[in-house]
Amino acid sequence: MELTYRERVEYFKKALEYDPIESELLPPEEAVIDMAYFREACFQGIPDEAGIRSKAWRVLLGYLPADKRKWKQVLSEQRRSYYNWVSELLNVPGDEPPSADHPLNSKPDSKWAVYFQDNAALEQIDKDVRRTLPDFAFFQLPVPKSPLNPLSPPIEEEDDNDEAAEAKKEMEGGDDQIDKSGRLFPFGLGRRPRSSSTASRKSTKSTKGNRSRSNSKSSVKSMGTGVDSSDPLTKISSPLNMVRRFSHALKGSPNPQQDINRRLDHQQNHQKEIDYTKYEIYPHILNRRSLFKRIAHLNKDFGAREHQDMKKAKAKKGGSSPIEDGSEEHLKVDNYKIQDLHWEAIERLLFIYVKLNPGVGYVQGMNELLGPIYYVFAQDSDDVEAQAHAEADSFFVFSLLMSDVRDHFTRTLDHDANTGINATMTRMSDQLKRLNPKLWRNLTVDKEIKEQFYAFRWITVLYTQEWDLPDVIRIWDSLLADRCMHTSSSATASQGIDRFQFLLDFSVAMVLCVTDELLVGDFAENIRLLQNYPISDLQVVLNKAYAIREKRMKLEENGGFMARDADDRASITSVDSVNRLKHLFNSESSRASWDRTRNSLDDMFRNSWVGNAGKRGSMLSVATTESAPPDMTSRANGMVRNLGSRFSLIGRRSANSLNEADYPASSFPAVKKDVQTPRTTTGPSKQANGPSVFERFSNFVANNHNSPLNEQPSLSTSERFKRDVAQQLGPNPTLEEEAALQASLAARTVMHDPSRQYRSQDQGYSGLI
Amino acid sequence: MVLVLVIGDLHIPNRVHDLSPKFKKLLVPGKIQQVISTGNICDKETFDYIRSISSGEVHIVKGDFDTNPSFPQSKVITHGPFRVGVIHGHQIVPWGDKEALNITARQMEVDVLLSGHTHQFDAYESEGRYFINPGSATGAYSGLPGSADAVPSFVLMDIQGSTLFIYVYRLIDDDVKVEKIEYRKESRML
Repeated sequence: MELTYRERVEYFKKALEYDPIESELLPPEEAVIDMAYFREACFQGIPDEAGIRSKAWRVLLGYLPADKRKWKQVLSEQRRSYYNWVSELLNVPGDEPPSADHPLNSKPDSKWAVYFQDNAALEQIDKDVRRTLPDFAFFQLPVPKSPLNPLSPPIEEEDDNDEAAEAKKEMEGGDDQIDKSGRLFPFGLGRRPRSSSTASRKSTKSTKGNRSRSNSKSSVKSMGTGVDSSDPLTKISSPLNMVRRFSHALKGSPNPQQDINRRLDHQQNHQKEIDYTKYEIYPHILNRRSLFKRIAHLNKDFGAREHQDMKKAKAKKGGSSPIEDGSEEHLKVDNYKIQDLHWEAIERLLFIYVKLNPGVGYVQGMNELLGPIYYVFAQDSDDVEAQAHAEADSFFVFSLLMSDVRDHFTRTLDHDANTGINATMTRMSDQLKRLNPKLWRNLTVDKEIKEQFYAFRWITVLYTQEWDLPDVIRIWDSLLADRCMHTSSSATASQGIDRFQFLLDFSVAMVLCVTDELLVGDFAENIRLLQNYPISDLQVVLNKAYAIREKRMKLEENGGFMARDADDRASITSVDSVNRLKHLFNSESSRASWDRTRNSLDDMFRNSWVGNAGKRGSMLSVATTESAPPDMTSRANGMVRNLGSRFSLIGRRSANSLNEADYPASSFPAVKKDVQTPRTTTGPSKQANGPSVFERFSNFVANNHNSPLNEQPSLSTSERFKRDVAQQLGPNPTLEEEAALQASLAARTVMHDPSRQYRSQDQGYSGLI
Repeated sequence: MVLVLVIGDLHIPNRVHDLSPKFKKLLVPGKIQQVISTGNICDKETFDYIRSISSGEVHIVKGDFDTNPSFPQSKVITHGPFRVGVIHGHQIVPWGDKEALNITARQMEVDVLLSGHTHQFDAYESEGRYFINPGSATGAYSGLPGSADAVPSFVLMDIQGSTLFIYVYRLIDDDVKVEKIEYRKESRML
């Protein structure tokens, strides 16, 4: 596998070379990609050459088969079905006779009722998608026009017809008519001078690569005008001709005149042009923008709903009255000639996904997963066809990816420690424990930092929040390659959980790379460190992850993996009080009397619980505070309240345990300091979608309370104590026993609460929360 | 697309004690983005109920039986290409007269004029403008000759760009009947 970069690029180019016509005729040895080798190559990173990565991802995720001869058929079928879905699922009700269905119909099978339900999901998607990678201008740009993309505005014919119709009108009508058409159809007269200038500007840019993307739009305009003036005989009607004509335009021309000349030179230039005729053409979808109209009443001021065409039209008009302005804008919105923006394409894609996967629904974070996929596909400047169908292809690749990580997004699985995101994080914890027991003990036992505090976001959105997009794409190369290995090897494929092993390897690597800092810092510092990951050089972490993976694979081969795992758990986790409880109950010839058990529990509380609880109690305040001048206290209070509502359940418990547990307070100077001067909040979450992830996270921590067999130090110990006791008592503890338990708890609370100095403060907190 | 409820002349509690339960079942929150009332709602409870239906704005004009002095006599609301004017209609004499309404619409410079007071549903186009009278939602008695037994009705407007879909909800023999009318705005020279 030791190849130079150039060799690797060559390999990928050769392996993924694809042409819809020629590839069908390839001999089998050339047509079929050697997946084992290909995966290894991808795992080491896919070269950043045009067109390679997007194809490689398609293959890795299984969207495209290894046999290139089948690609055309697969692509054609899948794309067709996506475009069918778009045209069907975006339909707005209203065609039915009013006797059958009407907007206020409340029957569940009413199209209108479904419509209103969909709108709720759509609003949520809209909110999130607008802020997908907001620092990338890419997503705010329009999707380039392409005759291959049925979701892009139909360029030639429509423009020509319009212009012809317009010209006709102008002949018939007087001055008024010209004024009107100039205003209502910015595609017409007013556009001409501008088009040549943009075309020339863009064409200089195009020499730097990214050719088809930057050119397609500007040149189309110039072409449209050029045709009208030159030869009306070339008026195009069939899509094939249309495509052929477009391919001329795609080369870009400094001015319309040259464009005409170039058309005359068609024969000479032929081989350099992109020939669209070999690609399949799908019918245009006219209702593609209906989705955005549904929610047009939301967010009128944020996010670029209006497009350049409208802006230009407005700028051109200048001194017209605001009313006219408004009305015109809406006429334009009606116009299906508007180009989509990239984020709008993502929005539509997600909506289709949600419609087709009602079981999963929309969960925040999906947009983050889709971002890199769509970006890679839409950026692919090498293959015009692939770029034109970026949305359709992203949809299927996204669906395939989601089928693996769906469990992380399923809320109902959050409750159970053995499924969903919990299981994944438990496995991560186990792995960390194996690799660096010292660090694991320090984090989990001493500082009580659960993986949920940092790895939740890493794992659910596959690091898209932690790293910059180029790095994310690089990580995903390995992730997807690793996933692909597991799906194909029959041994592990049966236990689907192992698919994303590298995901865990990588998160463990991320933790291990900051081992020294973690061991030194306290709870707050560690959380801050892990939530704002400090290492910006991906290669460091990646190498670590590779090393971990090697180690793991060796272990797996030796087969001693599981046995050792079990041993570790028994010895190490028994430190945890829950397990100690279980041990107690199980080992002490279990059916001991209730009193005896309670006594032993009391011992335990004295020995370890109170100390722990003290730390736990500080958790909320520590997690939310940071060094800052104390004069910001009042502001901090507000934020604490804010956070409190988010954290409500944990918060309340933490406040409880504060009350109960400040008796060894002197031994926790850090706690004291933090409680006395609550300061500004460090956003526990990094970016705009942080709160949501956090909300879900807090819910999920709260929910864990109900699940029987997990170890959650984040629950306050009193709760845990109650729960375990309740378990011992059986499913329905009698009232008496419950009362006794409450009483003993209360007594202990009073007993362990000698220092009154924090009392008021604590009450203040609980009041706030 | 925007769903706008047009409702008026309820006269609760002066002439009718409540809205029909059939209508109440239809008018639930979460669907309607705007409510425009042509007035004569009368009591505050009903007004609050109408406000609860809308997830957005509520526009209301003063009818001759409305006591709230803060309601305006008329209002103009813009919906995309449509300028929608609302007036109760008791000011326009003769009541419900097409010519008089036309003059009012011209004065208000609106494309769609919503008016009430006659307790009779009506929707028609005249000289490039559209006139809608949602009738009385409770079918309350009106003093007008020939309208002794008014049919309870209200109107739901679905505005999609420059097209206006009008759903007319009528309660005939205690049965809700829905009718749909389409009006497309010609791009007139303003």
